[in-house]
Amino acid sequence: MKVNKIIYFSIAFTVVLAAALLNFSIKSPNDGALYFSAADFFLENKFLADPTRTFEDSVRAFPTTQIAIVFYLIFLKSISQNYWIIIYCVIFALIWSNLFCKLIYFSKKNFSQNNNLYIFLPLIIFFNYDYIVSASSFYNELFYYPFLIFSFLKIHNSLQKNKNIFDKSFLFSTFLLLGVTFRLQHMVFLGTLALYFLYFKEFKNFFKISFFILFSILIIFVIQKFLLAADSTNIINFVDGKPVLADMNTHWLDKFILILENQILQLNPELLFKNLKVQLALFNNFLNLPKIIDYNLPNNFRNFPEFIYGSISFLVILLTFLSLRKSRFQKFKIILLIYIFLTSIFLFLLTDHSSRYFLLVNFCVLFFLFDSIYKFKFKINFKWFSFLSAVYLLVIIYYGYNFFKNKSAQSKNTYNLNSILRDFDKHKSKTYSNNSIFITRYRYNVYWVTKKPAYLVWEFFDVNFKVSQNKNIKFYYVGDKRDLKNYQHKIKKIEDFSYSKYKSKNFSIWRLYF
Amino acid sequence: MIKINKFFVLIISIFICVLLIEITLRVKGIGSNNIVYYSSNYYGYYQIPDQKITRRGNLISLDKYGNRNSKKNTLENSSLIFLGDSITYGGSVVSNNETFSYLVANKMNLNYLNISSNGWGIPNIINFLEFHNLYKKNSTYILTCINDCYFRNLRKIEQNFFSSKKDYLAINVLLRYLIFNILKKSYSVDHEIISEKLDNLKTANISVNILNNFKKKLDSLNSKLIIIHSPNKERMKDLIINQSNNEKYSRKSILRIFSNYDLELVEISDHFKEKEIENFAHFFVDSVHLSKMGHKIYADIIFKLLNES
Repeated sequence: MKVNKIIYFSIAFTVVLAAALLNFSIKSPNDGALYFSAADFFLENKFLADPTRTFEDSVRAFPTTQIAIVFYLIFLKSISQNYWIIIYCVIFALIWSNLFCKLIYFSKKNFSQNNNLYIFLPLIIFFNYDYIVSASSFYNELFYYPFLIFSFLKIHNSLQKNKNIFDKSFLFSTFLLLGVTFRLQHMVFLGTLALYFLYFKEFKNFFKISFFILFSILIIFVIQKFLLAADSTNIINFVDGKPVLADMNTHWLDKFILILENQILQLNPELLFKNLKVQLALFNNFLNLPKIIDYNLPNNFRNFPEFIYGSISFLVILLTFLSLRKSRFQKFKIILLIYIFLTSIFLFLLTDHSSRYFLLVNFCVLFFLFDSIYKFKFKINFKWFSFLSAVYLLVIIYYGYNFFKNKSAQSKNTYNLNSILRDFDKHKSKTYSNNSIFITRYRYNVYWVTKKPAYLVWEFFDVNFKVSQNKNIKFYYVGDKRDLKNYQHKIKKIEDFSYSKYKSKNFSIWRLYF
Repeated sequence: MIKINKFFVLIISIFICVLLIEITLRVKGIGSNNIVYYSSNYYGYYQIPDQKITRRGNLISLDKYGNRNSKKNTLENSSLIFLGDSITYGGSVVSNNETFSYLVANKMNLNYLNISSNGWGIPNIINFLEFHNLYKKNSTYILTCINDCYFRNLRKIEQNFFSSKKDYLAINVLLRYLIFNILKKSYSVDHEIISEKLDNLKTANISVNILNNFKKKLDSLNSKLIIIHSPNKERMKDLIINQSNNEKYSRKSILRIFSNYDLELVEISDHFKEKEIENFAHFFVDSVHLSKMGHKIYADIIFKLLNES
């Protein structure tokens, strides 16, 4: 057992370290750049803000209440500025070596009667592209994903032994209490447990979980209040081509409601139909399919990749129903089903998606999948194991190939963008004048490479355009110049300012003259 | 028998180690393929004439005087004479036909001479011209130098890591390099006796004075001297931030000395476009030496300067 743990630790450590180091060479951690830079900003200024949008004269609030990872990074960086990444990877590997042991035990115990496919359960859970990237890019999923799985295992164990879920539950309760600071989606998990307890008339537990729900809501409000207090601007959001502004003296609660209202206002029938199609990703994320096929399904299954994507998803849904017909683990299956259902509703109401949002249901879907096939009699040998693993890894390799070719399903030009920015940064010897301002929709990438804040296109042209009157300021636009078409009348001249071989006719770093 | 075997193994091991080091060095571009120099009491040193090597994929071809230009070019048929240190020489970063001297002359459809050498100071350059009597009427002399060029005074071959004959083993180059650096350390300036700053300033004064006399001589021949200051990366960084935070005192002190004479120093960096300043590292391979793109941009600027004048 000990030897196994060391092997799992080594694998997890190597994988996350290698992936994390890619952030400093060929890729950018996207949202991770926000968390990472916010931690640095906090260590320097002793308050939390969004440094990717904070200019000298205007501080922007940290844009989300999911702040746990920032404080974790602050903690690590205050221990060691130079070696924090090693500690980061060690803690990750410790968590996963333990979880791996538990998952193998769990999988073997429940799914190994007639076949040895059970070995794939922990592998698929760990080697998920979205998870590896999230964990190595300093996202909250680093902790939330494994601790959610720990919680599911704990619930399953309690149900099997007919024990109360809250027995010997210090870690579990801590997760229930603080999970919302990692992912807002945690409310789905709390809601699932509440509905479950209500359904089975476990009122004592229902009140307990209600306390956790109320406490989580309170945490969200308190964090929101403190975050908004740091903001020194009147910018709220951007809806239907118009900026949403609020007076700086507006009460934080009103600002919060305004943000919420605007989120809801953005929902329209077209978006809701798209969100309906997006739900299929819940059932195939464990195969990494949303990384290589656009989960928005713009062609409505009418091309081959989307047809395959749909077929696989419906097959998984079918197997989920088959599993539900089986009598074992009924209570646990109800919990998993409620969780998938509530996650689906939660995601349906979002205006924007990322494939990692579907990550959290992987355990649930895989549980149903393995449960539906556990009776199949066959043993796979090493050759088959290698073949199936290779097929699984092929998806990641294919995604990697597309990343370098700038053809990935969700984000085109990502590799080029990072390369152009790195080329620019390198050939300026990281020298930036105080009077240079970046305008881009890729502000996390820009900040990650240049350490300079940036305006979003609408933020600059619709709200802060008066800055353009200052003739001493140099304005750089990073991205596709066609995205500026609505603002052409405000721009005198656009000049290509990059020498990178990765730039193209439209996609580059542009100097804007007003 | 055992003793022989051990000795044999030892010899083989040493041989393999030496071989591996030799291969590694050659892969890194160190080896027999280097330009060799001769020593001169009057102008320090220069490239031995008639050499032709290809290093790092770039051709270095020297004429019968050791100048880096076509063998067909002579003082008689050339009206552009480029002078300088390693910046003008170009090193193994560029081929002959990629040096800015070649590019300018090619654009102007004129013959040229590239009289330059790595590590030269102003006295080296002017003494070389005097020694070989390379003064010519109705011509343009273009001197391109970095800050250091003014502080070097008359450099001797021993002060640089040069060879006077071909090294056939790369490992030999490595050993010589190590010894060179050990000796160099033991010759370092004693700061208690000589103030480095004052020493440099006085040397720069001498250099500019030499240039002033050189210009007078050229004026009397109806020839023209253009003195170009080639920036280092610190200067370029300053241009980006519009301040002088990065640069050491050297450039400013040279400018001050120049202001005492009737000499114009052309800051080539002032002719860079903003896009070029912002991406300046594309034009340099290290803190001072030019890349192929750097030679090209220098050629464009010098061509423009020549046309304007």
